[in-house]
Amino acid sequence: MNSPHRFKLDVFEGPLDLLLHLVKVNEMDIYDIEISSITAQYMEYVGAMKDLDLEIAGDYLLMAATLLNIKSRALLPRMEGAEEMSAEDEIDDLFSTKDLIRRLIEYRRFKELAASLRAKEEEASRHFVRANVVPVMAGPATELGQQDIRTLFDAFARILRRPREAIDHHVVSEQFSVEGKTEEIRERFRTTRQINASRLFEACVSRQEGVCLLLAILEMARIREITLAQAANFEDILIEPWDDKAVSVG
Amino acid sequence: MTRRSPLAEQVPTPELVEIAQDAADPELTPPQGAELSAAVEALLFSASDPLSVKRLSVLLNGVPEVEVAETLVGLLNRYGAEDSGLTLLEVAGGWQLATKSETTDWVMRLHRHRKKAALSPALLESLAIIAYKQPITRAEIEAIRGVDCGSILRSLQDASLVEIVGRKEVAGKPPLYGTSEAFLKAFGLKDLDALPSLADFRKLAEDKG
Repeated sequence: MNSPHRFKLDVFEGPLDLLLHLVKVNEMDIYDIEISSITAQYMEYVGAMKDLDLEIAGDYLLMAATLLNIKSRALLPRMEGAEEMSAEDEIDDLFSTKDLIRRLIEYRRFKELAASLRAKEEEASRHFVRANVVPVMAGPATELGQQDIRTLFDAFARILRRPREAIDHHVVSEQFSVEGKTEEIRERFRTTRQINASRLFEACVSRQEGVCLLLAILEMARIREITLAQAANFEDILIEPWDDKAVSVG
Repeated sequence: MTRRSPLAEQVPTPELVEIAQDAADPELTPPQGAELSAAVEALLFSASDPLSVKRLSVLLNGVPEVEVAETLVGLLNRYGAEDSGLTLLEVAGGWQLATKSETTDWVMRLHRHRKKAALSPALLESLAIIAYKQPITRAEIEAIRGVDCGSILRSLQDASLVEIVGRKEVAGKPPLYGTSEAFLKAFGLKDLDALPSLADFRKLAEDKG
């Protein structure tokens, strides 16, 4: 049987997905699968993967072995009168058509549920909600009365005198993100049309923040949200919104 | 439906922790009538996360939950008017002020740089399995999908849609995965019961099998 669907190989989510596809194109009843025909077609697909030099995942080969096993068992004459469940029967059960159908049906169910989840997601994405609400400072958290500079010095000295706790393991939470930095740059463009890159980097407190900033700048330049310009080598890089300029320099 | 592991239930949810911290302010009298409606609307507007009726009640110095619920219905009716671009959504156990879907095309123009990539079929499939069968181990997910799911689970965790909710009491104590609150938000679900029904598919399978 020739398959016109070879080009679709990489779109399958795995051996079960491929099998479901075969059941569908052959218009077979999933509860009454013709194992020999399906097996032949399945092997053809796996062969095509080899021809195309695609890396065949072990999962596909395992399924191929299962299918061949079921097919070969179907060819063997049935043992008569063996009522008791032997060890062989148990293995039989594991590689049985029944089990395969059960797995296929279960997989198909989740494929369908995934589709309805997708619909839910699309529905939800049509609504916009507020995000990252900037907290407003109503006033200083504590009343700062007249303070002697010595009070501050004393407080600082107390902190220095405090015995350091032994630290076994230090967990640092991620404070900066590429998205956050992107947002920050957009925020700056509300009040200015030009940003000096060096200023942004100088303001970074950690290497992680600097990396996030760099990635944000590169990504924004890639999606044509900003342009990067430099007057000469080693000069400061100027960041401007894309709308202001049609071409970018350097 | 299988729910979260008992282990996860022992930990107070972030919302319960927050409620415990929202002590009543003696200088504020609980609002009533128009004032209550205005306060609820303002709270919802200022919140970046859904607010539950309970949380609203506590924040409003103990206005009974019934009254909060009535106020929400009033707001919903008001937003129902055609000349309003807002609506209230029940998401992740709370209420959230959101733009109406009718206005999406316009709002999208403002946020065109923020488009997020759609989940791939593989991610969505795995997410569906986790959502419906949680708590579930990686091996159980792989048994259903028939393929390795290691990198997919990592992606789902990175996207905060899935989290480890406990460990299975079997050899090796493998982690159990479940969906997060961010999952409910991303899919606009009130709670896990709001997932599209699995029973329909089960019934179909039984009828034929």
